[in-house]
Amino acid sequence: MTIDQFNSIEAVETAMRSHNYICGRALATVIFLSLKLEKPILFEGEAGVGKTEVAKVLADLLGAKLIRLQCYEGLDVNTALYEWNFPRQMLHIKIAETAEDTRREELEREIFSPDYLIKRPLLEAIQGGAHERVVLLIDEIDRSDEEFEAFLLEILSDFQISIPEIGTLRAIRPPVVILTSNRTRDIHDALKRRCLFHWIDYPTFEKEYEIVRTKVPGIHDDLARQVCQFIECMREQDFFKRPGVAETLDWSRALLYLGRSRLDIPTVHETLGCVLKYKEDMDKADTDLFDTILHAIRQS
Amino acid sequence: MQTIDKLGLQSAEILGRKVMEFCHLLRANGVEVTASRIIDTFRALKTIDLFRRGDFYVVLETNLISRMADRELFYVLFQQFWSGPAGAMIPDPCLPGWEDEGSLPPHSLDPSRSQLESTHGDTAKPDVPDAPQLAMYSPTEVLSRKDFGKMSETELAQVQRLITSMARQMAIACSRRKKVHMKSHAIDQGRTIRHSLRYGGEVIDLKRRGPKVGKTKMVVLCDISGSMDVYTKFLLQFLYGVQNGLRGVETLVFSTRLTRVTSLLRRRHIDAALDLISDTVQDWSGGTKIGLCIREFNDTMAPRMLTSKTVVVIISDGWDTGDASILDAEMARLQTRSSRIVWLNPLLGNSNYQPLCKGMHTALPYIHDFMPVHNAESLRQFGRLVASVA
Repeated sequence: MTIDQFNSIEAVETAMRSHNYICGRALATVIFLSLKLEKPILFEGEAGVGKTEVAKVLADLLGAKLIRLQCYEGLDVNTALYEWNFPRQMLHIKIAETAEDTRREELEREIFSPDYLIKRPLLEAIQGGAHERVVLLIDEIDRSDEEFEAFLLEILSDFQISIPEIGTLRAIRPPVVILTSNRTRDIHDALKRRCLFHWIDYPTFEKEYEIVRTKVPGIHDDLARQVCQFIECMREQDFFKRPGVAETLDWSRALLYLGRSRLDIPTVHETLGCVLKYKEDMDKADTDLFDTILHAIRQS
Repeated sequence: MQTIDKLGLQSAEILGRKVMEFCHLLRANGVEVTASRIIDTFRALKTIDLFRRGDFYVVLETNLISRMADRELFYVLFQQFWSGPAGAMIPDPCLPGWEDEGSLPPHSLDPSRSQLESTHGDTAKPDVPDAPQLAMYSPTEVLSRKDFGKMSETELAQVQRLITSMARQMAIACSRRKKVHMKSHAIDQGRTIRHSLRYGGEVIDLKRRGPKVGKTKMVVLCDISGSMDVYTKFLLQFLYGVQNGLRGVETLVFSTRLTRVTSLLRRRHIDAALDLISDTVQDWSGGTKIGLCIREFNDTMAPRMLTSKTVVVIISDGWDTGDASILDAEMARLQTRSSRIVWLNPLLGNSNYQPLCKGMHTALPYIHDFMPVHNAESLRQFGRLVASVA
């Protein structure tokens, strides 16, 4: 599909669903606007609610190339944008020396040409647009430093990159940009201003049930319902890291492979590692809690 | 589909003006709405069906706000501004009539946030003036200078909110200062040459020597004895914010005994964390034996927690019922093991206060920074100090 085919919110919603992403109308509206206005989207939300997945699905259904930049503390220009290929430049100089080539200016121009540039994700995304559509995913922006945010600003507002030795490279077709944040710290306002903002919440029971049914084919209706209800109750508990949709899916798959048809206390204990990822949380989740939750599920 | 283009000039203008008014209203309530955002909102409105209230809501929300914290405010303001008696708010029948009221996105909030601010109660209601006003008076300014001990219930609730946001800002400030270090420092010749060997002995990359950027390391010892009662709740709330915003912070509370509460503060809800702490800590609001507690810290936890870069923060009024010579010896030990000792004393907020009580007097020579901690403003100053030394 091309972007022009998404001429309504409904079209986005249907297309996302056809690619197995159960997407609410609000999310579809934001994606629709992002495509129309050519503005990046900043997704915030708890871990495991499907922020990254949106980018993957979007790339898939646009037939676009997905370029992913995973942020981390200390991420710098050399890893995110571009780097000069030093060994190759050196080699070129040595060859010129041996051949007693004395055209210095020309040599300099040669070794600082795009041929000697190693493209990193952001440069690739800006330049890639010439041949094909690009979806640029900047994942977990909150883990990078503010320094990195600052130079993202130039890229996200004008879709251009300045390389001192070459000049400014401008995107022929701006990429579809998706940023995600787990809100471990506040993103700078200047960066936020350039983005459409959308908060992705934990899904409702109905939506999560639909997600499990779509993503884990072969799971029994009853088990899927029990899993979703159980997870919903677990999210109400005071855990350090509450289970996201990713955990629900992992757990459902695990239960399916183990051939379980219903939830009971031994099963929950055996597979708890799919749901809780911290020892403190594991310690807090005891048989009493499971008993209460399972009882509540049976009642409903 | 009812788009703006089909509205007719007059109605489109009225809608435009309404949207502008709404933007001003958001601004008046503290949401940062810039001109470029408003322009984008109008561009976005052109692409949607105005009769669908849910879509209209999402378009405004996604363009005009950019913080989780503003979502609740946006929801309330939207409901009040765009509904009300239909005639009064929307004078033209062509304008959004909105049949599908139910299609508003489900409104839910991050429970950890709403809990932090739940005590806010009535005061949380955003101010919706009849005519949008731009300049507003900021009660937080006054509040942040008032002593915790002299506050009313509502003020206490408001200041709690303030403290939470300050703790977060402090975490940001601390991570921001790292990059300053990355800038120019003396060239490390050895490393530069060693590195150049990789490129056949040519110097390409200059390696620089500079302070190694470490994670903020801070150990907080908080006095929870009876004399500190008024301040304890705020301090713990602040510690909760600091702990969850910064890496490498250890928190301990003491009165007659020392208790490590780092993992207890690692909860989603502040109230749950506070409850747990009061359940776990046996000596809540008891007397104070600062010297013995610091000795316990020095003996058991200091080797693991302290490095020569660690900042130790002691929060106490200095009323010590223990032996002064112990305090003296233990403060000396503590000083040699840490990079800096910051003592926060709520009594220092009183202009007549003199550090005469035995404990404070003994500890004073070992302290690098002696600061008040009686109101929100002083906590902010403390945050600045930590950002500059940690």
